[in-house]
Amino acid sequence: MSRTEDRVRDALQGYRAIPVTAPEEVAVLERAGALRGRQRRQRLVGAAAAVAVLAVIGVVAVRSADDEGARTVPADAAVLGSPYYVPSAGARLSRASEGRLGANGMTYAEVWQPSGARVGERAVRVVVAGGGAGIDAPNRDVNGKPAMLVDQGAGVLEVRWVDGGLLVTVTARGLDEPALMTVAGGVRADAAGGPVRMTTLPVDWAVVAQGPMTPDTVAVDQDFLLDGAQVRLLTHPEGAIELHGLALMPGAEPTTMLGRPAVLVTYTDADEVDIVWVDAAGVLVRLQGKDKALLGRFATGLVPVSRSTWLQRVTTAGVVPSLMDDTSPTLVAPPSSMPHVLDIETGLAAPADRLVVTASVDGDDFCDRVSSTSGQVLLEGCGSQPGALPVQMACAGQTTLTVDGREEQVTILVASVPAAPATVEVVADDGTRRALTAAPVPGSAVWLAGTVIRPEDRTLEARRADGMFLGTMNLAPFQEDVTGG
Amino acid sequence: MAVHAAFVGEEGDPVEAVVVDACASFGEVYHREHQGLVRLAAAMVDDVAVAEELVQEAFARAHLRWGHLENAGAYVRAAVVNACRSERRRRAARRRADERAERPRDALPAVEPADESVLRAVRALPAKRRAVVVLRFYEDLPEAEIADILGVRVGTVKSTLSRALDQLREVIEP
Repeated sequence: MSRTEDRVRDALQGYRAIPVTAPEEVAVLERAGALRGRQRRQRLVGAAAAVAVLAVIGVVAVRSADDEGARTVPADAAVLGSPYYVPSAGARLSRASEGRLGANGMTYAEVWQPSGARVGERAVRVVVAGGGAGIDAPNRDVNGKPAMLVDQGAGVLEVRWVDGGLLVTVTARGLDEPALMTVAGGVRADAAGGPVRMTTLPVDWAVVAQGPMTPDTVAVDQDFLLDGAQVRLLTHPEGAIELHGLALMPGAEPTTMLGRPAVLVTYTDADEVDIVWVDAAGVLVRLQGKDKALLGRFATGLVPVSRSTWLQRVTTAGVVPSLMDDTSPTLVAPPSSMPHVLDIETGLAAPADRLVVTASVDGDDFCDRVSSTSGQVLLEGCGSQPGALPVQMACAGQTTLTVDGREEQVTILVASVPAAPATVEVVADDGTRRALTAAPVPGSAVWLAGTVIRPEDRTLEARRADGMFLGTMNLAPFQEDVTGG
Repeated sequence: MAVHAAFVGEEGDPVEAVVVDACASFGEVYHREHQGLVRLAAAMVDDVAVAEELVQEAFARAHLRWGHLENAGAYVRAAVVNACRSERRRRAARRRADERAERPRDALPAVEPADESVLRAVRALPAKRRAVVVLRFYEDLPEAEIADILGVRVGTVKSTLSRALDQLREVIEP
């Protein structure tokens, strides 16, 4: 054998050291039959356009049922714009979720999972087909987890593995309205091959609703329990789905504006519980791993007060250590004696006074009082916002500023955002942007950003430090509510 | 070992849940071959996650015709190798997508080759040549078996291997 052959042979031996976890049990889940019509068309197009043909088979390796006491993984899908998902109990392979997005309708994400799967299950089949690039290869997310990424031209389709749980996030741009679709599904063994922790189960993400919801269009489909937390999946006739984390709070059952029980997951393993109002009715619950510093915040429902404005009765909790041991699942309000001062740029072209807004976070009413250099102002209503990810709460009100010697009435927006997004920007009609500074509220998990809203302002956007688009909030309702409503 | 199968209808709706025990050999083959195949695939595509997916896919395809396979292990291995070759062909498009997204490509974890320059040279080989090299020097397969896996003649394997070694030699022993 030549020296070259020897060196090649030696070099290749390194691959034998790659850690590969062998499953303890193997389950095969298959979907027989023809592809659906749309998929057939995609298949036909695929040869030319590199559209991935949806795989029809998934092989699932399941760890021993004894490993984790055979706890049931909640059916966990959520999808924008699809009547499907239907994960239900029982040993069936279900179309856990699917979604289509994009002007050309070609972006397609599908998650297959066995309902009633067990902790430690892995290799749930995910198929992502993109019209343009047609990329469907695994990648890794920022945490080094296997992930998938599709760059879809007008939109971005991103598939992330989140600490064992599968998270599919579709952020679409170029649509009439910015949209965010999140599909949660699947469980995967961790990097060491061990069973995933319950904290990584996909109870943690849900979906932005399509358009406004009304009470009579929302129906309860199913509930399930996850380590003491009740999770409710709601579907909308038009296809939007919400995944709600509901409280199991002894003696306390706050309601949403629709009269549904609402909010609070007491989750012993979770370090962060993050609840976001979605649309007029939705609540989004997010659990994150222990490496996150925040424990969470909990909101407790909406009370309708006018045709388009809701007084948002939000109890904003700060760090609540008692939740960690699950002994006292009580909402803890941030200390009211710690008002937070925000410096808000007026945004006025003239040599503007610098408006100082004090947002009171007193436990019952978030941001219902705003004082400024020109005096105390009571905000008439605090609105929840359609598609308001990741803005969790927002209030707007009017106050008077003195600009160039004359008094001018301005509309102030104060919004809470997830802790430390890298940027929060207001985007105007013409695309111009101005950055807001989000500042933490001492003693709480709330960060606030504020600004004076101009007539041409349209949306508030948040991005992470790495540039990842977190979400947007439409400002128009605030302007209507404050100036005309 | 029990193998559970659930069948779903044409439109994707679950129509029946079935537990099948007759396919136990599938599980045996899976357990016996899985790790090695993932590593083999990793040697060809340099990405463990991709390798796992390709192996899963190969097993899934094999399961469809499990009762008709004379040598299931060989079938799956051939499927993995061919999937890896296809994967290599998709790499260019994916790389472009990664570049658009400004994200770095994945690094292969846990591989610390003694001779990185050799590995780089192997990785630079065209897909077919690399497949032959990996099967010959990693799997230690005879040329005839490599030919079976790749669906080519033995002579083709010999010539491909020769060209691959020539190419490697230029880099490794200039």
